[in-house]
Amino acid sequence: MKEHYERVGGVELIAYEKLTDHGLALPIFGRSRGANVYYTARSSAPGEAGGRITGFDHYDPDRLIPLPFEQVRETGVGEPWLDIFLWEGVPHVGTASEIWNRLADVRATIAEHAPLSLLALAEGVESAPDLQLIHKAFSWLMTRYGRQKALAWRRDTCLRGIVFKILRREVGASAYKPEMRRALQEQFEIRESGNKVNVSLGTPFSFVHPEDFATFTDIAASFDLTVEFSIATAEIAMGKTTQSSSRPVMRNRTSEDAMRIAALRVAASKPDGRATTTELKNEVGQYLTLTSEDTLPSKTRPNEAMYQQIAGNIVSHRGSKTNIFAKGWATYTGDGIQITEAGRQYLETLGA
Amino acid sequence: MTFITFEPPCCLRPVRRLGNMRTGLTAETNPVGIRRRRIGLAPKRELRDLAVNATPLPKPLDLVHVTSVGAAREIITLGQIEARECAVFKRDLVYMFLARPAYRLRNGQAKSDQINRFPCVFVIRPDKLGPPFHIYPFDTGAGASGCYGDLVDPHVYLEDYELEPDLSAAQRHIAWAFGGNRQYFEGDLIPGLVQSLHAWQSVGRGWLTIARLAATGSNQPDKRASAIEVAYSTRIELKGHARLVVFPQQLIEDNLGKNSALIEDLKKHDLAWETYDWRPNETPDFFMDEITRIVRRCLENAGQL
Repeated sequence: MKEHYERVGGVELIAYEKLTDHGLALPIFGRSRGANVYYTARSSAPGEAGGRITGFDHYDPDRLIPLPFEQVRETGVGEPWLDIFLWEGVPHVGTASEIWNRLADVRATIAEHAPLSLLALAEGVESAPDLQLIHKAFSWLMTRYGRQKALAWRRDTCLRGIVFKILRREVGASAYKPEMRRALQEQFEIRESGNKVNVSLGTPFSFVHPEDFATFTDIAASFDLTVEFSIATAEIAMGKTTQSSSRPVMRNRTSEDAMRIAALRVAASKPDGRATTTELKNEVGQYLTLTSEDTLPSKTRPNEAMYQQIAGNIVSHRGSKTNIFAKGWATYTGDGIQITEAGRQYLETLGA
Repeated sequence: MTFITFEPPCCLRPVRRLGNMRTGLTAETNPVGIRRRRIGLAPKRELRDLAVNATPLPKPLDLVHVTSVGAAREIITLGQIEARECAVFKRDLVYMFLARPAYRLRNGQAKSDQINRFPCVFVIRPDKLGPPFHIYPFDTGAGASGCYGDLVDPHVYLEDYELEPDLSAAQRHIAWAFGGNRQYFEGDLIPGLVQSLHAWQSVGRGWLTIARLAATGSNQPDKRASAIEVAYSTRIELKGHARLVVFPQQLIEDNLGKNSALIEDLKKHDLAWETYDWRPNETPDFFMDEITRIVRRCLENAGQL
């Protein structure tokens, strides 16, 4: 049905509604500062970092808090998602990276008092040490609320949340259909037993494969957890490739391990063995045979291909115990990596 | 929900009624709604008769009260859910749904507000609560404000749908219409139930038309459409009745002390709690799905599903 629309001008981030006195708040938009019709924005990547605004919904606020004049921001569809982060009664407005940088002086304090909120903000910041923050949040919960609550958070919020977001990305627009919403609630489970974490995925997700969950396995490994995937009828133990199913698991995306080796090769090709994150993203492709899935646009970083996003993750997920930093093959330089002597020797063992 | 789409570069679109053409389920309030029966005319409470021979399911279900974070704070501080004035029944009532975390938007509107942006849920054990004021097989607020669309039989009045104000009647209704607690939780009706009704059983047929909106596979599922509404005319104490509270995880952190008080109050009232991951760029549907998952697990652990 064709609808008639009227152009009425731009949109501004004019206010917010807070969940509590600190952390992320709900950004409220209007046509101008004095607007009395309010909107919330929709993100291209709901619940995830790095999204863009795709539309606006009517909103009926209860306790609207206007932003100070100087913090009002003009925005619109296609623009990067804007956050509002409250700390010490002050709203900080901008993209996650802008807010992260602005909070540099108080980040340590926030990590002490509100590590979950800082972690939520950090997910949108490429340079943020998110793995460290996850551990910080876990130990904070352990101290504050005890082991059971901390373990429940790790399993049900942290690890489950990562798998959920990956699955939602993989299923794309279908994620919002009623059947898939129900499947996302019921057809995947995360169970912990001892130092094992089992990810059980039902038939709606039979098309995914363990390599899609590299971020998840890195985080689990940092807690000394061994990951097992039970995907539909296939069962794969990470590292062992034991399959109990006759249905083969097709690999159609370059693994993160292969990506790490390519990143080392990029660094080795540079003077002093140093490569920035941007160089890694732009050049890893020279050392890999990219698959068609690798070159698909990233669903969370609009200007990048999937393989470039994974290359970036090598740096941003540097806290992982399985990565090139933990293995001593590279060091973090602040804006990228530098290959070590051990890293060069490792590449030699692999050959040209 | 009402969606406004912004077309680049920054053009606002006027609000329009977005409706499902087939079901007639509109995103905005239909001024007609399910009508109240005139005082003095006896309601024909057919649903009670239809379920009368059904064996109540052995495991009675808990009640679920969905509210916004702001209201939940107040509830936890006071240690009770207070009865609030109901625009439909013109008296103070506490509204809950049997097992299902559905919620009613302010004034029955579909416009997004705090309850779907910052939802909190209380799971309440009903066994020591005393008799409810009324029980209906759907959200009466949504029905009265027209949220179930124009397929609703205009000759069936709100009071006609009322079940007996007794939780065992609700359990019988579940047994008759859904066959089991889990099916009720998901909103899945017994297939072919409508064929078991005579053409003149207009209340039963009318209810099935409404209840189908909540079923899996509905084009625009609205879980309120078959969620059993249980209203109490007195406040409900949390202590001794609340099984679980679910709220955003940000509330367990503390910067200025306000949340410490909340956690202390939770301890004071012996309230078990779980959290979900709140994000400003997340969809309201996600919050409800996540809360539904947590409530489902809670009810499963209690042996109810």
